[in-house]
Amino acid sequence: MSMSSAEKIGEAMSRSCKHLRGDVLTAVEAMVEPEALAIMAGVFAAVALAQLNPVSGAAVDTAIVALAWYSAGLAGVLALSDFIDATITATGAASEAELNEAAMSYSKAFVALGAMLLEALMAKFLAKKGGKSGDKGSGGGGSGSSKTAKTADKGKPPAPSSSAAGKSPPRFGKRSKTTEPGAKRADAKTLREIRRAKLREVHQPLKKEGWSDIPGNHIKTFKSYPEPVELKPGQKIYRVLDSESNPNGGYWTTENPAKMTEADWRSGAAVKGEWNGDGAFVEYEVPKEGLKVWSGEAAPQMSSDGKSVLGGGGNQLWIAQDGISATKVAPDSAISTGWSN
Amino acid sequence: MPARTIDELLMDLDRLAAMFDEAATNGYPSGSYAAQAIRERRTSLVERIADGDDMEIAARLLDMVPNAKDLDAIGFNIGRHPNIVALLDELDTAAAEISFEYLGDEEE
Repeated sequence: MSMSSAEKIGEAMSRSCKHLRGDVLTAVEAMVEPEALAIMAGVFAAVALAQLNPVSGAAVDTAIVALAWYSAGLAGVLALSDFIDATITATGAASEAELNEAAMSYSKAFVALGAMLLEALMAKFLAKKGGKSGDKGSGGGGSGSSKTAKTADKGKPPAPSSSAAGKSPPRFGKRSKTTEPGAKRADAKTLREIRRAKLREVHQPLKKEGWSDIPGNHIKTFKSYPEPVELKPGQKIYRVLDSESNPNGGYWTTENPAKMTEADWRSGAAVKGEWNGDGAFVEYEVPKEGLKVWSGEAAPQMSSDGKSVLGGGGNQLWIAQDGISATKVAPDSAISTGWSN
Repeated sequence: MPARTIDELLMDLDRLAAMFDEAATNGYPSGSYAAQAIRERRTSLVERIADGDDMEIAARLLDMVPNAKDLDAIGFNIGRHPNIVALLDELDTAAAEISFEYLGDEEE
């Protein structure tokens, strides 16, 4: 079989598509687009070689494992192991039957990995094309940058104040349905305000030439219609996370969590503990091209307890995470908020 | 007049939860978390209606389904699920409309 290892991987991945469906199929189809495949298959061939010859090469890129862990926990890491096994099978394939066997192994691994992790993997490797070689694991092939967690006080628990931000490894909080710090007793006026945001006419996305459209369901999370804003190079924006959050998600803020209490952040950003346990944040420095975002004040919403209210009013940015507007932050770059969790 | 009755809302909440569960089986594991949250809210609504406190019923109706920011926080990319988005928005609006029966809008 006169194919390189990368070509065998690409062929086996392509053949796996016929065993897939739904969002996983969509994600894999994007991976086997010619340009993406040319990059990813080469990387995976090197990864497979490293597993077979652990003395001569690095084992699995820790950033890949971190991605798997962030996306799906232990199940993600185990699925990653299946994926590597499939890659080893593909690189060793000497016949059509063996390539088909590798394709079947890939399809099982892809289903286990899930669409989100596949997209994250692709984003990571495609970002490396033309990226900064010194920015290992940042996932940032672009000109934006993310900061790595400071670990000077490794092992010590963070102090329960915002002054501890960044000095300790993140201690993520658990998602909870208890009343969040910063939540206030619901009154009729605030409930009506929440209702007004929900019933605002948002049947069509907001549009602005040069900006990604913002769909109605995202518009509703703003207190009033968000504005298209171009952030300047060098400006920092922030996103608060828990252990399972995607660091490159849609919602960000210009307000530095390290300078806030959890109560200030939760009430201003109107983020429920039920969906975000917090404990860490990532920051992203706007690249030299600028960054086109939708900006406004966060709408209030009910607390996780279903009775209190998070008042909103803090700055909220929505970033489409598409070809027009995206952040490139590494999963392992989370910084401790310093809040007690 | 709300687009849905409470009974219709409850039925459609079951449907929405099932759609999130299906997404979970198709590679979006956080869909299970959303499905569970919706079912808990459905139960809570039924309980609050039985208790009869209008303010608490209105509060529940204004938080029946996760919003786009909630789902973003758990890594569920709703942009990939247009059917879920459509029903989610419908039910969010319907529940908010029903809330007028329990909390009038004196300011308007």
